[in-house]
Amino acid sequence: MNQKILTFSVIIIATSVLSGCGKKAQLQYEAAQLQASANEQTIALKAAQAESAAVGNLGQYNYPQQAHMDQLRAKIKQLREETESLNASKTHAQKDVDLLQKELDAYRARHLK
Amino acid sequence: MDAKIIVYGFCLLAIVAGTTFWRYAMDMDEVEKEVVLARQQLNNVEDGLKQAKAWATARKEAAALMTAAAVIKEGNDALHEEIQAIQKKRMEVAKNYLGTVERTRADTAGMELPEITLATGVSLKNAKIQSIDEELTVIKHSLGVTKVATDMLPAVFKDRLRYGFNPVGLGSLSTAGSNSRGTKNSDTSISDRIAKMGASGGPPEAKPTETPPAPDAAAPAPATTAPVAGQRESLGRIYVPGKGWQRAGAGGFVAPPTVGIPTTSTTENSEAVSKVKSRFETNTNTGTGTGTLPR
Repeated sequence: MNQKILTFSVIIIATSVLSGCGKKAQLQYEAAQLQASANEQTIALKAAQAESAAVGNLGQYNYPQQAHMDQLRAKIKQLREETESLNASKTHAQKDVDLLQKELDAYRARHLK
Repeated sequence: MDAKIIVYGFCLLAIVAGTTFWRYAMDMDEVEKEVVLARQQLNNVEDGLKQAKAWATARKEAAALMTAAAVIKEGNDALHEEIQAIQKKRMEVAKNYLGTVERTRADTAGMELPEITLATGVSLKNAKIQSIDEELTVIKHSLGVTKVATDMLPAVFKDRLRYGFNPVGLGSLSTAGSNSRGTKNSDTSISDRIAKMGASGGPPEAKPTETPPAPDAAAPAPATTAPVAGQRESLGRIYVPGKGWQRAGAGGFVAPPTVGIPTTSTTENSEAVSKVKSRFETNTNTGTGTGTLPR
């Protein structure tokens, strides 16, 4: 009887110890996995920081906020409008020169021998 | 004896089991803490990575926008330069134009034409342009010398002379004060003023107020359709002896000028002209008249 009780107790203890050791190993493995992921992400973070640093110093836009981006977009829009205006001015000026030259040629043809 | 051993054995086993359990629980706590710590670290790194990627993207976009702005600005600068070059070219063309016009004006003085029809309809035969400037033109023709306002010249002359022409704000070419040849000999201040006022439509500077002389029997009687003796015309105004200078045409004197010459004929010396001259001299001497003798 006593031997049976002893054997039963030993089995329970051994089973508990074995299951407890499995849980611990599982948690340790999970921690290791997380650590490995963190290390990978850290490498990616350093790469992203290096990529950002490779852009160089952008002056007042070095740490661009949404307002800065809007400002830059507005500036580009303004410059494009200026380009259109300048193109129109150039065309107008060229036409004006051609017209004046034509008028001069006609004047010379009419009045100069 | 056996029972005691068994009890001691149980106690020992219980102690060992308790100790083992306690160590096991401690280990589990430690491992769980490690897991939590690793998880936190991973989350931090992931957040940092997201932020770094966002910064890199924003900085790249800002750099791209700045580059685009610089490129567009460079293009605009190039366009500015092109426009300036075109404007410079236009300025040169305009200078050439003005130079050509000036040369043409210089060539105009001394031109001989079989006939010039003025804007008033008066036709001058065998005309030679003695001098010309922005306001006055002296034309020698078959019946004498005439000063006419340059505005009265035919359209072809206006196109040729182009006074007031200013293609690019260079300033119009004016030969006033530096007339073409022959001006000094034929220019007088009074006649010029009369001619200029006639051109501008202003009143004559002075009108003879003397009583008109009796019409000569030989001279045709003044009429609206017949020429008047001593009558002269200059630039839309007619000098009628005794009435002074009057505006010709609608609202003014309607008698046409003698022989269609508005002018001053230095070769013609009719009796009527002699009478007007003598009358003018008389009035000047007696101080009763302020008339200007038309030439």
